[in-house]
Amino acid sequence: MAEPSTSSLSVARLLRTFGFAPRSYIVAVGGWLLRAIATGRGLVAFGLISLGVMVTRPTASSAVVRPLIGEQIARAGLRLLPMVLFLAAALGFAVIGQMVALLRQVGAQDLVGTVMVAAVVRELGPLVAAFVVLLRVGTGTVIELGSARALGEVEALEALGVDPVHYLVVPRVIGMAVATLALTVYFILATLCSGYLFAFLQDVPLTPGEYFRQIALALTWLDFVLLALKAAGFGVIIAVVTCYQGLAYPLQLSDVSPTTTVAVVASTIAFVVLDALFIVMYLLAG
Amino acid sequence: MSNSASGETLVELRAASVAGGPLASPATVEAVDWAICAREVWVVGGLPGTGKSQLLMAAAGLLPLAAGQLVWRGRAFADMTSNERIELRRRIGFVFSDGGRLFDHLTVAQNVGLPLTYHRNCGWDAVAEDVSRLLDVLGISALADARPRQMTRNHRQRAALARALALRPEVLFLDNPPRRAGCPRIALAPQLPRLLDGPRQSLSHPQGGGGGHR
Repeated sequence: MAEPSTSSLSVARLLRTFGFAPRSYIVAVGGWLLRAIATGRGLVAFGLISLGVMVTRPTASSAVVRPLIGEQIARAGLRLLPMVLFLAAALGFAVIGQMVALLRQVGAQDLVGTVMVAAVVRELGPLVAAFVVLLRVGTGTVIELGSARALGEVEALEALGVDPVHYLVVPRVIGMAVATLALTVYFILATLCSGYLFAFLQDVPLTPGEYFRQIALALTWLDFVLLALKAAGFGVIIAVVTCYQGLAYPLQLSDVSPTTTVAVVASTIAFVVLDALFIVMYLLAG
Repeated sequence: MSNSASGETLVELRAASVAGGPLASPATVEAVDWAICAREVWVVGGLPGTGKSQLLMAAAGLLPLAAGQLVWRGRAFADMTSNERIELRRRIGFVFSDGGRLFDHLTVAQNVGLPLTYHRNCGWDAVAEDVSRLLDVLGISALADARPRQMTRNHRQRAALARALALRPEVLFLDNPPRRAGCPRIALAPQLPRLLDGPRQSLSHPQGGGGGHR
């Protein structure tokens, strides 16, 4: 076997002097990377299985599944509406109102609509709504399904001939997709309104008609299509990731916290990836 | 395997080994050949921790085999599609031990009615009569609107039995069957066929020596 060169030994010694242990870091990073790949592969497989069930059994047991979807929409949408409206008001006052005032100061008030559409409609709206759903409902889903798995309720469903993916996952996927989309729309509307309110309080000479006309002119049909796809996509990501983390392994009490953290981190990474894809689409479209 | 004197062979384990948990763990039950025929009653006995529950779950198709084969009416379980497995599970009832694994977010009546509403694709009202009859047979009608966590273990086990019988299974597995006051838990077994049009059954019993007894 070839001896390590003198230069590589000295580099290793130097790193150790400053508290670095190259081999252990490589092992740690490699281990993390392998776990991340395994989790990603499991998530994709789980997502495809869920999609397969939705496609092949769209109307199966609808009398049971539809009320469950309704429950998920109420839980992830209706009950979170006050929180989303509060965030929208805060964001409108803190950010959007200031932005409108600044644009006026530099004489770029004609760009208000374009900036609003780029900042609020395309980016902030779906992301804020998705994070609210993830933190308030997604984390609960991990614990709920993890407990169900640990208590053997998944096997109990299987024993009754009830497909656990159809009964537990599909309603959450559809419910969270619809809820995230709905919350996004409400968030955007509330942010735009509260932003204008702040600008009005700052005596910005911009009439409501002019403000909303500029926004309407900046919006294209593509914004509506991509906004819907993006917001629903975020909802699907939350449902798939949290259901996967909850159902993949039976959770012990000590596993709940790290598994929930993994679900939040994995969802956030998936949000960023999906967001990047949509930015590319916006750029390609023009 | 051909039909036995008791009737057609329904479930068959061939050289089956069952692991206690994940497949990587060592098998707790090894090389079991077991054929369950129509109208037969089996009792599976053994010391605690010897894998009785796992054996029953494997025979019901709920736990993957570490080795060997599960066969339903001559058809290998491993060769079945997911829809065929779901269909098969409707014909095999299973009552879990320790309270029957009822769903805490549903009432007792909803627990019993869930498989009916799911497979018939109908609302709760449409299955209310069947549910009421089952709860009445098991003596827990008064608890129809109770949540499982509010009930005793014995009542939960009865509700789980009612839930397993709702689909009129051809084979019924009872893991630690419900105990009746003053009677050994096995006492419920002979009554079941009479009560519910004769489902065939197997029971896991914690007492006695190892092995299965017909």
